[in-house]
Amino acid sequence: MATVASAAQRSEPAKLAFLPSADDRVHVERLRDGDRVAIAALFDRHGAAIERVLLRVLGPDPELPDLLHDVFVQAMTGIGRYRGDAATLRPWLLQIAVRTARKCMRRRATRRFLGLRTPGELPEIADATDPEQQTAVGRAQLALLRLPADLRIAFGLRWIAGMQLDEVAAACEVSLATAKRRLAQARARFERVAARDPVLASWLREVAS
Amino acid sequence: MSDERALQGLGRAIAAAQDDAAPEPAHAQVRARLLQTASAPAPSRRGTAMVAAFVAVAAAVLLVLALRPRALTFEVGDTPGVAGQWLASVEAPQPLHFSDGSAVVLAPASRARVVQLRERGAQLVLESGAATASIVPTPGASWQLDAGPYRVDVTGTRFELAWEPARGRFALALHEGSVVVHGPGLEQPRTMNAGETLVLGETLAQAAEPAAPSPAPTVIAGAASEPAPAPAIEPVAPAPAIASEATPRPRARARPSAPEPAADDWRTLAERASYREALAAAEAQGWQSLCEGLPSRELLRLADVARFARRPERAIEALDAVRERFAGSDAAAMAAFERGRIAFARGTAWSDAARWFARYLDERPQGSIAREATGRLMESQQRAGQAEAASATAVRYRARWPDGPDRDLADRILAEP
Repeated sequence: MATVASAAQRSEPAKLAFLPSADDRVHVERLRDGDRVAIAALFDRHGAAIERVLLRVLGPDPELPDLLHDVFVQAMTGIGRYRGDAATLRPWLLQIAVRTARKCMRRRATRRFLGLRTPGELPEIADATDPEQQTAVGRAQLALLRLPADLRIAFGLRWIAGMQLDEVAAACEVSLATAKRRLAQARARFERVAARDPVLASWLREVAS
Repeated sequence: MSDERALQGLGRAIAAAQDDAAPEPAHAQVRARLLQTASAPAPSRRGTAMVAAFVAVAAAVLLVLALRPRALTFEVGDTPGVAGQWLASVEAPQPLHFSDGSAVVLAPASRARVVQLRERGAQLVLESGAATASIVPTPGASWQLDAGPYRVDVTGTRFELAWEPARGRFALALHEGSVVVHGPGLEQPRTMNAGETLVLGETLAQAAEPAAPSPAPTVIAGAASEPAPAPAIEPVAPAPAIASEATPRPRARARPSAPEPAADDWRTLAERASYREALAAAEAQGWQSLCEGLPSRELLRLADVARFARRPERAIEALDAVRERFAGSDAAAMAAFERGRIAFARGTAWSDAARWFARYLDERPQGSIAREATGRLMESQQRAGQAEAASATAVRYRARWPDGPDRDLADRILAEP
C-alpha cells in the first residue's frame, strides 16, 4: 500500500491549455463560408484534446470514436451560430463535447430504464488478481456511474481531467455558483458511496495522508 | 472523509487507469468519416421532415418498450451490477442481491458472472469456486446456473453449488425446492429434490495422469428436513443417510494417507482463505522447491493462492512450473487457461490472454472448460482488436454452444460491420 499514493500521482491531469492560432481563424472562416472540409483541419488541431475530455468524463468506452465524430459534426453544422473568435474555439468545442457526453449518459440511463444493455458501458469490476489500487479505482469508477449525468460530468472535469473551477463552469455552460454546487453534490454523493466500501474508503484515506 | 487532496489523487489514478484501458486512438478513421460527412450534401427540408417522422415513430416505440415488463436488476454489495461483468470474491463472500429478492452469494475464492438478466430470472456462470443460491419462487421464474459443462435449471429453491474446473468436479447440495441438472455423466436431465447432493466429474484427481472418462454421478439423498451437506471444494462433505442410487462413489477409493498439515502450513491457511499468509508461508517454506516438487494439482492450488493474495507474478511462476513439469497433462492445459485469465484480468493484455486461451483449446479442445475458454478467447480477441479472429471464434462458439452463456457476445461480434 505504500506505493498507492505514488502510483496515483504518476498520471498528471490532462492540461487543456490552448494557444489560439491564426489557423483556427482561417478554418472557422472557411467553415462559415460553406467549406465543410475545413472541419478536418480543426479536428487535427483539437481532436486529441476533445477525445481526452470525453475519456475523462465517460471513461474508456467503445463509443468514444463515434462521440468524437459527433462533436465535430455538430461543430461543423453549428458553426453558423458560433459568435466567438479563435481564442474561444476550444472552449466552444469543449461545450459541445460535454453536451455530447451528457446526451450519451442520458441515452444510456434510458436504455437501462428500458432494460436494454449497452455493451462496454461500465468498467470491468476489478479482478481478484488486481492490485489494491486497481480494485479501489474500479470501485470508484462504478461509484461515479451512479451519479446523475451533470454531477458526473462536473466530477470528471474537475478531478479527473484536472480542470479549474471556471473551466468546469464554462464547459458545462453554467455559472460559477452552479458549478460549485454540482461539484459539492457530486463529492457528497461519491463520499456516501465510498464510505460504504471499505476498500475504497481505506484507499482514499491513504491517498489523503 | 475524502478531502480535496484525496479527490485529486483519486482523479489522477482514475485518469491513469483510463489511459491504460482506453481503446486505441482512432483519429485516422474519425477524420476520414468527418471528411465523408463533410462531403455529403446538407440535409434538405424533406430530410428534416423525415427525421421528424422517424423521431415520432421512435418515441412511440420507446413508449411501448417502457411499458413492457422490465428485466431484473442486481447489486454486488452496494454497487449496481451489470450483466456480462466478471465478479470475483477473494477473502470474503460476495453477495449478489437481485431485485426480486433472490440472492446468490459467492464463496471466497470464487469467480462468476451474471450473463443475462431476464424478466423473472437470470443466467449466471460459475467459472470456479462455490456459490449459495436462494431463489425466490415466482410464477414463470427462469433461472439458470452454468458451471463448466453443467447446467442447473431453477425455478425457486435454495442450494449450494461448487465447480472445480481443475478437477472437472461439480457438486450441488439442494436444501429446498427442486432443480434440474444437465451435463456430462447424466444420461438425461436429472431432477433433484430437497436434501439431495449430486457429485459429478472429478476427472483430474491425479492431474499428471491421462484424463479418465467421467465417473458415474453420485447422488446422495438425505432427509428433506436435515440440512444438505455443503459442497465444499475439498473434499465433499460426508455422505448422509442413504444413497438413492447404487452407483459407486468415486471418492470412496483409497487414498494414500498424508500427514496432517501444520496450522501454519500454506494449505491450511489457504483453506481458511488467509491467502496472503498462505503465500508468505509457502515462500518461507521455499518457493522454488515447492514449484519443483509439488504435484500438479497442488501447484495449481498454489497458483490460486498467489492470485488471491494479489501476487499474479507468483501465480505465473507456479503455473509455468505446471506447464514445464507436467507438459501434455490436463493440469498443464488448465495452467494455460489460468495464464489467460491472469492476462485477461489485467485489462490491457488482451492479445496475451487470447494466446493462452487458444493454447488451452489447442491442448484440450473437448476439455471441461472448453466453452468458457472459447468465450474468453472470443472476448479477448475482440478487445485486442483482432476482429477477424474474434468473428471466427464467434462462429465456432455459436455452432458448438448455441445456447451458451456467451452467445450474445458472439452475436454482437458477428453483427459488427
